Amino acid sequence: MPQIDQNDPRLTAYALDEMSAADRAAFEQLLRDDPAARAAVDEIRRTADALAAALASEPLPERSVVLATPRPHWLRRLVSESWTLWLPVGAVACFAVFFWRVYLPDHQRRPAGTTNASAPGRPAGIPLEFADAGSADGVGAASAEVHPRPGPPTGLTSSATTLKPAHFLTARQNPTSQFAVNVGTAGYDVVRRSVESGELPPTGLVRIEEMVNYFSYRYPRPPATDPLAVSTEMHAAPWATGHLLVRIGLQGREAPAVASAKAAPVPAPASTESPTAGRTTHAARELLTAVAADEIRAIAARDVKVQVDFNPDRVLAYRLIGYENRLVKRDDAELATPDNNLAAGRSVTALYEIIPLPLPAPPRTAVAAKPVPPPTPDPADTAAWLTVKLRYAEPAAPQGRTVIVPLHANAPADLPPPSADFKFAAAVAGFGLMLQNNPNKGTISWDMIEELALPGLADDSGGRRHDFVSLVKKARALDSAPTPPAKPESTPATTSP
Amino acid sequence: MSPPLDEHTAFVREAIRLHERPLLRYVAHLLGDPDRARDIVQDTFIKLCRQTPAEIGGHVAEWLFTVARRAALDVIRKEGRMSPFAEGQAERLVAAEPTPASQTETRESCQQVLALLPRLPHNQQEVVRLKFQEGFSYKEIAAITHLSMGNVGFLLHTALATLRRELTRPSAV
Repeated sequence: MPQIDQNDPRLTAYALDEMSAADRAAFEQLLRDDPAARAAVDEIRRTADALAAALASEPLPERSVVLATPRPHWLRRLVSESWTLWLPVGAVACFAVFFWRVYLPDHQRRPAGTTNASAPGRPAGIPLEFADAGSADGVGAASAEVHPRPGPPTGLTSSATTLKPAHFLTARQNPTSQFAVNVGTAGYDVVRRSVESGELPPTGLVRIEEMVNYFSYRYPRPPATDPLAVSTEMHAAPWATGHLLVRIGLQGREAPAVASAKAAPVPAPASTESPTAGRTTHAARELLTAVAADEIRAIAARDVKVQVDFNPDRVLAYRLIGYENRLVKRDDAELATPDNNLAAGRSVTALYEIIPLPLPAPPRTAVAAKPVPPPTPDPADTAAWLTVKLRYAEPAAPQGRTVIVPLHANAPADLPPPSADFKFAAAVAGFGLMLQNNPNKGTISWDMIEELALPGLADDSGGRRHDFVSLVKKARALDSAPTPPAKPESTPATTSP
Repeated sequence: MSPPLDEHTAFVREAIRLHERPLLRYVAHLLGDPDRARDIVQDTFIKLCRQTPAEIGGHVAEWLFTVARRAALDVIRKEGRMSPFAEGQAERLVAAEPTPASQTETRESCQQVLALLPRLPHNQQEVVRLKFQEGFSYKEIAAITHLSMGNVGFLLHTALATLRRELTRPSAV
């Protein structure tokens, strides 16, 4: 005979742990003799769990939606924080990357089938809509099994699990590729920490795009009117004869001076407050304006979407180097949303390897009497190897802008020699390909990496590039060792050939 | 006395960082209008700027939700957007007989739950979201909604019973 009515709200209060200790004890007395009520409590808990899970699966509104309207901007996510969080190097970043890469994927609720391992070349193959919250992929889903705890990579045995390197995609079938601008740099520290601890990093943890973006490059600064500048450069790929390497660089303008803080006033809402309250409102606005100005200064451009359209008349196939399995979200768990913002003063680098179409035989002068004009209706378009299309909005402007930058270049045989800066980017990418043991690493070698890096050392303000070269040497030594020196204490070092 | 500006700025920043988006979601559900929700959330943070952390007493989320809710209700009243939180609606929805647990498990899925939620009376939807989406306690929900704790408990109990019944019905969504 049930004693507790099914409609008694105490059942729910008890199930949700919302009772005072005294009430709880008393209620438990009643429950003891009431199996039906106990069953009801169980079901309430189950329903509550389902409800919480369902509600947690609802997306939070985007902050950028706030920005997308011509309103004050102080509500914006503090992008400066999310960037600076990733800029410091060292153990913190290293731990952080493990946390994001290894811990979070395991604990975050994700839609099924979003892991990337089964989608070769996904970054290039994703549909036109730019990778966003919905397509955030499960980075390190496999590595989560391998490295259950944050910490240094444990060894080469755990490699070969996670990332499938991007394959070449044919330009005819997949003319469009995209990459994200919110690329981190902590992947470089993972590599460095691993190598310095005496082991090559597991291939699955090598993020080439983060390694490449750890370094700064000499990109042209944007003109005063523009928040960012796009530059492209194409040269022969060092590691594959006949292939080309394209470097696309976005450079955000430097943060404007503090004086421009007045540029973002918070408009006055209709106020019915007293004059005294009005003054405090004014003070509040000042404060928010300051917050907004801080944020705006930290961003060169927001909602940046980069799309690269390859010309199938010149490009047979291409691949985006790195970005294999990128976690587009890298933010606080509770706030996880892709901030596709380009921080002020920051640059983003993407590298594409291209397999060009064989050129048609040049018209011979001997048959010039019978001219056959090549079918070039629009030389400007057909001659371009690729076109970078950039969409972005300025931090304080509601309207987006689109920039289209075609890459015109000579035939592969007539390309000028690459700049030292370009070579250095190629060296870093090559290092990554080597560490990944990437099937498309071509003829990349330790010698080649060092050779490519060398000219770029002349321009090394922070010393990072020199550190890179010594890191390459260390990795090379580890690689040439017959066995990984995992536990050298037990046996004397007999690794020299 | 108000704290130093930097400290106050940090306080507001942190509040925005933690609560802006949940607050937007909550108010948007109240109003059914994301644009108006943004206005209200914005005004709410302006009001927050006039508070000191001491005045809020560590209950920033509660304070924000309370203030934003009041503003949202003003909008609803003024513009007659919807019948706001019709009191008494809940009485009609009383839990039916319990159903076997095994049956419930197969039925519980996010989509189903989310599809059922809008069928609840507004006031139940609201407390459900405050409890299970924003993680507020009965006491906090009571403060935000100006309901008694008993009322909050009743609304939640009724909402859960309804959802459980719907989820276990053979012909559920």
